Amino acid sequence: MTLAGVGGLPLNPDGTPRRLPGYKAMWVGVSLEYLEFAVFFAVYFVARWNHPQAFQEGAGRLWTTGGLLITLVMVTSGYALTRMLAAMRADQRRSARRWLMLALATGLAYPLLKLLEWRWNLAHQLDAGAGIFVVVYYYLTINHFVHASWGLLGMAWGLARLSLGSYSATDHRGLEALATYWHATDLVWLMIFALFYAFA
Amino acid sequence: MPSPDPAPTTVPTAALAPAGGATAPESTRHLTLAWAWLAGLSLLSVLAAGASHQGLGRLIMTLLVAAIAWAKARVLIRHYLEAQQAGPVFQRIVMTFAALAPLALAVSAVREWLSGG
Repeated sequence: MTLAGVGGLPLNPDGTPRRLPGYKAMWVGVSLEYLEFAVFFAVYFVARWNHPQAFQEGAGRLWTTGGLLITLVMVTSGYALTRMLAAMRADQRRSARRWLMLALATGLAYPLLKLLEWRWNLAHQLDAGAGIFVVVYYYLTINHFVHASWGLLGMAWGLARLSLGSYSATDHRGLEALATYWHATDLVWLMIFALFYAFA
Repeated sequence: MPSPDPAPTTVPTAALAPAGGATAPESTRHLTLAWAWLAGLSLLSVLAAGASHQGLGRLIMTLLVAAIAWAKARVLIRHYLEAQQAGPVFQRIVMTFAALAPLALAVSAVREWLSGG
């Protein structure tokens, strides 16, 4: 970090002022979300270390394609949010609105894929009574689904506010906070993907 | 535990180099490249996971999956989350979280290999 000039703000090495994206409260919330999922991961690894066979057998029964599709949905929706912010910063509100609509539309594929995955699981007897691996799998993935659902609600709210002209090129911190939350939740999913769907 | 990037301009790959900050002039090319990396690495990790299910091969593939998860996290944190703009405390929290699961996965892989899994 470089010491700054104007206003005492820290600078990036390229001379641009460093500015927290969104609100500090959102970053505190993201930190707490990570604390929560760190505990969930601890549950996963304690269970895995005590029941390695159950995990190896159980992972092979999951719908890997579904997990991969959810990953693509999460990162594609996140990509659309980054483009939305780029458009906002360039004062292109119509373009930003289109990118946010795309992010929401793509993100809404997540609950649809979850529904298909649960149906697939039930058809393959992967219910809560199918052993410790499946219990831990539902524990983590349903929690992630709840967090992602909040992100989808946030996108709908952000889209409504953007459509009403509530944001501008100089004031769109609410949209930045929304993107921060979605990317943070995406990061959690990338870890869940490695723990369950990409199981060697 | 890996430490956060010492300088905000540090990037995970040369291909993604022109990362933009919250206030930097926007270039969207690195965002698209980051998406391609995230999608491609996800597919690669599934292929790696399916390559071997026992012995040394399984150990190597699990370590590869852990490394890919860490690499994907770095790309997402740098190019999408813009954690480098959030200050050292939040950046450290994010980087620590991103390292937890891959590290524990690597430890699990070694543990399971040593026990004959």
